[in-house]
Amino acid sequence: MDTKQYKEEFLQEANEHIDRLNELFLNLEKNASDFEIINEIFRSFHTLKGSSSSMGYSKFSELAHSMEDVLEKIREHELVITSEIIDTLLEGTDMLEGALKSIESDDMDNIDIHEINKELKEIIGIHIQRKNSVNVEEHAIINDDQRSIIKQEEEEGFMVYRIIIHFDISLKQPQLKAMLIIRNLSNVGKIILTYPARDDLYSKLGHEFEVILSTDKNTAEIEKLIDKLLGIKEISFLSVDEKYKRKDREIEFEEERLKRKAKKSDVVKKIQSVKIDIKRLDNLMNLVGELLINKIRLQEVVREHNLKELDTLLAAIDRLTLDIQDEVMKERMIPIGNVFNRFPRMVRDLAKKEGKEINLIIEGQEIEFDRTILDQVGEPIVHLLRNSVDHGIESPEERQKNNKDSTGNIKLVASREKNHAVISVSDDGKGIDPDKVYQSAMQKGLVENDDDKLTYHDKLRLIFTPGLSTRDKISEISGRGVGMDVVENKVRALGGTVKINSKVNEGTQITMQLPLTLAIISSLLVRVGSDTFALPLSTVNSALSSRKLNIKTIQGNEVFIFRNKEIPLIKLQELFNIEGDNNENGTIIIVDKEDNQIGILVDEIISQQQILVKNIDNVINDIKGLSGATILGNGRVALILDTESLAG
Amino acid sequence: MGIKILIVDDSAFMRNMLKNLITSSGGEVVGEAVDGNDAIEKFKQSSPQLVFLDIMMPNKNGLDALKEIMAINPEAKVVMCTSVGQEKVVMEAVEAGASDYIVKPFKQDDIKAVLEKYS
Repeated sequence: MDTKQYKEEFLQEANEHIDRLNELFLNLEKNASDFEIINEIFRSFHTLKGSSSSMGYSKFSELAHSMEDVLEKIREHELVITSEIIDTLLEGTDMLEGALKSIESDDMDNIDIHEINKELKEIIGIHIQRKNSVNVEEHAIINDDQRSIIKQEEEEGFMVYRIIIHFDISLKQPQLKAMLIIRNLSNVGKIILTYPARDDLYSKLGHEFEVILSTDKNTAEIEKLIDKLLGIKEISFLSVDEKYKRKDREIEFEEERLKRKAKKSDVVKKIQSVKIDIKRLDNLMNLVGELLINKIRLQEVVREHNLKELDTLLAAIDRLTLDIQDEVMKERMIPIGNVFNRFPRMVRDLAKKEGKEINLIIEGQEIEFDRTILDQVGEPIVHLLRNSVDHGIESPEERQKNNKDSTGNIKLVASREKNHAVISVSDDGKGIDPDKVYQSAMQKGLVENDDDKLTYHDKLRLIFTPGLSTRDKISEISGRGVGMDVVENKVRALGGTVKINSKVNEGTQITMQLPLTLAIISSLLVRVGSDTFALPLSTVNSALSSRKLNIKTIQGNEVFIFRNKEIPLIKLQELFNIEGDNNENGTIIIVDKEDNQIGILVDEIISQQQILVKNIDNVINDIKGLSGATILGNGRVALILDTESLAG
Repeated sequence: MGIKILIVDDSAFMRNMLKNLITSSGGEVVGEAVDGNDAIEKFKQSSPQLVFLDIMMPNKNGLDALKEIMAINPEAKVVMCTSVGQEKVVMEAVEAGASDYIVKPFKQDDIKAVLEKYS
């Protein structure tokens, strides 16, 4: 069977299971006697085992199976949960997660489950050897009791058959098939003996099963009862020589069936959500974008031809388009909890490794972000959490010395403000000493020696300078060659900002302000020559005529004075080497950057518009000042300006 | 139209795979259920000729669902979907009236064989 078409679905579902498992294990550690949790974990591994073996991922399936075995022992009270066992299970879960990545990249040779499998097997204290099926060569030996029964049966006028059934060589779990045969035959007669005997099926049954049956049915009817089962290769009937008497039949199964009572049916949970492939949502988003563009085109045509009759209709379409856009945006929103849920596990592991006691508090898991942002935001959070564990929170001894609780707190909070979201990571650790940051930056030649000019906050912000680390020892945890500058770059690339606040001995708080979505933004369209550019409206401060301003050149850079501040001037026509109108009559747009402003000289402002951001990474990656493109109502492309990288 | 089949499995992935295998073997999937409770409800609604019933499921497992289905219709044809390691439960299912069982991972031929037997 071609399994490729299921791969995506398998991966998605397996990843969901693994996320949930990590969460469950942590709950289990706190509450080892909760059987609901144990059962859910067990089911998860079971499902993973089944679906992975269906896909032919044998190593994955084998590991899931081993994990399931351990959980089975716990379920059966044969094993008591310890922190070590949970560690091993978590390790196994990590292996499964790693295996999923290998599966995703079709690199399954990489998966080595040998060690972890051994550990798991040691936990349950068994060294599993696959049982080899014993082939049944010998036939049933009829003892005296059975002989007398056979005699009795035949005297009563029943036929006694010796039935030999051969299973397909590929049949799995033949013991169960034997049980089915016993059951089916019990309904039409009396089973005098089977070989192997019912209790020996597991140890002795191979691919041949023998039954001695007393019945009033003919061989064709009996054959039908057996042959309707799957995996039967051959059925042969032999006669039993001796003649014996009959005994009353016991029809256990019929009686049992009569005894069965219908239980009250539980209330059925109605399905209230459906899973949608992310690609479909992306497609939908693109379609909405196209709709938006065409609506704008239509508006332009209506305006051009002054078609008043269409005004009401157009207004309705306008409103509907906005509603659809809103709905689609909402559908793309995913609670940040999906990203947060792996952090408790991570912080726990890191803290354990560092010998620290840390309590991670998570708030605002329900805050929703667009998927595009959610995908990107995990990495900076991981970095900040690692920093907090590694550099922020002190060792329990050190904390006690400083009159702090020996357990440190890290708080990860998501919240929403107007049209952006805020994620902050704070700790009550030792904080950052701005002077040390400054010293370190100076030694490395990253800043000039101008101590007097720098405020407390300025010095603190130096932590975002590339190549700076205030710690000499590189720890395994966060000294991986990436610093706070990476966090800042990532957040900026998303159109967000990072703020830092810290007090020595009290702790550090890092706040990331992020847009809720990257897909559709409000923008200001401006014209330079025959080209149109879009500026994210959120960054625009004000606009003024260039004629009124006194533009001067300082050290080769053009600047102008605005509200008593010197502001650098960027001329788009020079930057992108395009023909523009006369500079004297242009408009200067003042945009806010992280901690200063710049002026952008354009020919004129066209309009304010919602635009659909199209990613054109490959093409414009290296061009400073651009973040993407959009298609305008007239079908032309406008480049979106990235104000953060425009100057400096 | 092929034989009418109800699929019961808590994994959407397994349901989908099974559904495709059934459809391409000429069967007709008349319902899909996500757990034991759902299975009983869908069984009543869609009166399938055959049920593929997974054992390990949340809320109500396949064994309990089987017992209730057999109580509703003692003639119901239910094939248990099992994995290696579930022999004990399947044994119980056999005693509770399951018609047969198939072992994961399923192959196209396994499903074809089931459909042939029950058509």
